[in-house]
Amino acid sequence: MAKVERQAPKPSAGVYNRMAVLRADRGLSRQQLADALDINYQTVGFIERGDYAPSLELALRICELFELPMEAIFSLRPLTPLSEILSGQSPLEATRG
Amino acid sequence: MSAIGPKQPTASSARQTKSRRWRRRQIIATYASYAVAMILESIRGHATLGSEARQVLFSAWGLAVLAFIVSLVWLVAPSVRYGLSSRSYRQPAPAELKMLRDQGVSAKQAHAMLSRPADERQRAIAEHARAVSYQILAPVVTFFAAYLIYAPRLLRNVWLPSTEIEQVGLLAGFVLLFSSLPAAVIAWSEPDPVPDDLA
Repeated sequence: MAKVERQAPKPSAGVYNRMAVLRADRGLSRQQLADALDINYQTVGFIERGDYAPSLELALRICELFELPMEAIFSLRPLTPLSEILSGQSPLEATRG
Repeated sequence: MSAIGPKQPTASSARQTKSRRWRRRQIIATYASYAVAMILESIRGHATLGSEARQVLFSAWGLAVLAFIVSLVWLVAPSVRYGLSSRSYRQPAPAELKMLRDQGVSAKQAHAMLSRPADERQRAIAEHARAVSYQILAPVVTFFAAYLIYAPRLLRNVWLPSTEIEQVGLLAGFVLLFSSLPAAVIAWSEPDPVPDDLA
């Protein structure tokens, strides 16, 4: 069977990010993350959906908060899903065993 | 360890925000009602009407003015929520409000705690709205100035603001346009709120 490539939709702001998965991983609501970053909760949603690319200053603050390097959170190219990185195989391959 | 910890969930202010379609109707209603009020005022000043027709015209004028005032308030309010203001306010959840009250925090202090300066996205929206407003206003003002200068020379029977009310109304219309257009641009262009944003 041919391998199915999962292509993330191109964000309108042009920057891919892992904000949503990292926030979920920390068990935070958008409001809590917004409070920690001193921004509006809607801005968190805009960034997560790729509708807004944060400034360098805000991106650095996000990296500091999640204690991760910039390239782990933001990228100009589609990011590999974290589950794929952790398991070493794509989710589709994992479900096929 | 992360500098943030779980907190109380907050109420959705997104629910209070109206849809883009609704906001667009408000914008059209604001400017249309002002234009209607000015046209009716101009007719009242120029046309010879009976007392009954004058009464009907006055009622229509009153309705247009009322519609204008109400829609102007509704037009400006969502745009302030969307970031035209230099500060943004977060609506607290009832539980959060109760907790603050139990801690002896006054309403004024609570308001100060829950409001913060507009963030970079909100400032960018406001700046973009001002830039778009300028792009709209520049041709409008240029066209109208050209009309006032050249229309009486080139055309016959053109409308010109002749009475004091028409002149003041026109000037007030430009003041309204200058002051409210950035708010209107924001209210027109911002997408519908995503209910998921407070998840």
